[in-house]
Amino acid sequence: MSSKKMIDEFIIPKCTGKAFKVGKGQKFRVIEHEGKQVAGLIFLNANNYKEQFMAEFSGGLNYFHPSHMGSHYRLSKLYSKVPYENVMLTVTDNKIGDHFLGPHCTKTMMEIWKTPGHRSCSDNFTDALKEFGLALEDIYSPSVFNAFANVVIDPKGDGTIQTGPPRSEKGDHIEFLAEMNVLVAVSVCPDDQSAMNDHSCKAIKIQIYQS
Amino acid sequence: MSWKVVEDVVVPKSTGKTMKIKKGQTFRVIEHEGKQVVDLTFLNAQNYKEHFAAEFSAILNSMQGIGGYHRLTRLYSKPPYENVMATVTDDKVGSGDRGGERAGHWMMCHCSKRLVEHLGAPPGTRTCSDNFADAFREIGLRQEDTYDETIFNVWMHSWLSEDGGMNFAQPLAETGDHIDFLANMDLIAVFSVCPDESSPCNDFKAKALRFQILESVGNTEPST
Repeated sequence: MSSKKMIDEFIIPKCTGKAFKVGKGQKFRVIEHEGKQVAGLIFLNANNYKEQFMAEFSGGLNYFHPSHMGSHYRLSKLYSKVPYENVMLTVTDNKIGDHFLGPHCTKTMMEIWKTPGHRSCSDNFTDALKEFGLALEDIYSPSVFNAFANVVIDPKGDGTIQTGPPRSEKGDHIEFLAEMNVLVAVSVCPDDQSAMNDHSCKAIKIQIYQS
Repeated sequence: MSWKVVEDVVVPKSTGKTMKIKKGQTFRVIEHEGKQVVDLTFLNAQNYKEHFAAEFSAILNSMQGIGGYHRLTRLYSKPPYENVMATVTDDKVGSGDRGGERAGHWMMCHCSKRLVEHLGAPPGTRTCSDNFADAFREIGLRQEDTYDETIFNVWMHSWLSEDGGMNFAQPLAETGDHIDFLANMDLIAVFSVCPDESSPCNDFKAKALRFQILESVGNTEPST
């Protein structure tokens, strides 16, 4: 760790979004600033915004790789959408391990929870992407890398989901190596309606390291 | 209730296609030979950026107790649109008529060039990506400009095990089984008749499927 030089560090306040660029070869960490808080992550190729991370697909590509390098519940390589299918990032440190490769929360979820108008990850991503001239309409899939989310899909019946509180505590982190220049959009999930963030919204810390 | 058949086509195995469905019409997918998966998505016919989001629909249906990753009742479009694009009005296989531990569909991904490469298939093996590329071309779209990764895998009998591994079993659907989608807006159905012959996904043999566009005759709405 001593060989790595931190070049940027910032806190993203609760219930907000922020986007930033990470250069090829740089690493960045998503850190639990207070604990039990999910961060939704969208990744775009910084040189071609049409090349976007595809969450579910990456689960399959990891699992069926000859080296069996990961799975839907423990991703190792993050791939971009068809027709690109490139490795965009590699997970280099993930002690907690939990993440959900699936949709971020939206206005319709808040309506189903009978809190219409409640802030959702859609609002956070909209704010974050605006700085780079992008809108939610330009993001193909609502599925993101929900870091620290504790969600499982029932393998039987209708395949319903169960959400538990995050198992990550203050100081826990997940680290990514950028395999290309990437634009990262973060939503510090504003859901206090479900167990997703243990029913209270908190901040997230980001650190970027030189290659 | 009786139906007026507006369109009736058999789509050859291992191909992709689009079909236009007007609001109020019913889109029926029929097992022509049995145990064959179709990878299906929908676009708003008036705005191609508004497309069906299978994974998102799985969550919304799960939250409402009307489905999940193995079955859907309401098909929603991606944020920020989030409209009900279509409603499943007849789904005997998903409702358990053919038995099975799970409803028997899969709101996940299709096979792609990279996936079959990882599985060790020979280069050039046809995948659903190729079928979708052909289908999108019919309406002037390139895969760079749209999204087909996470779709409604009709009759795809897959699930995630506890370790996140993806499992496949042969489809529960037999010849003649069908699923009906009522269009809640003018839609373009975009689909791939899955070409996979290396897994139980299509019972190791790619086959044709039959598609119909129907209008209900009389005053009865399709029952749910």
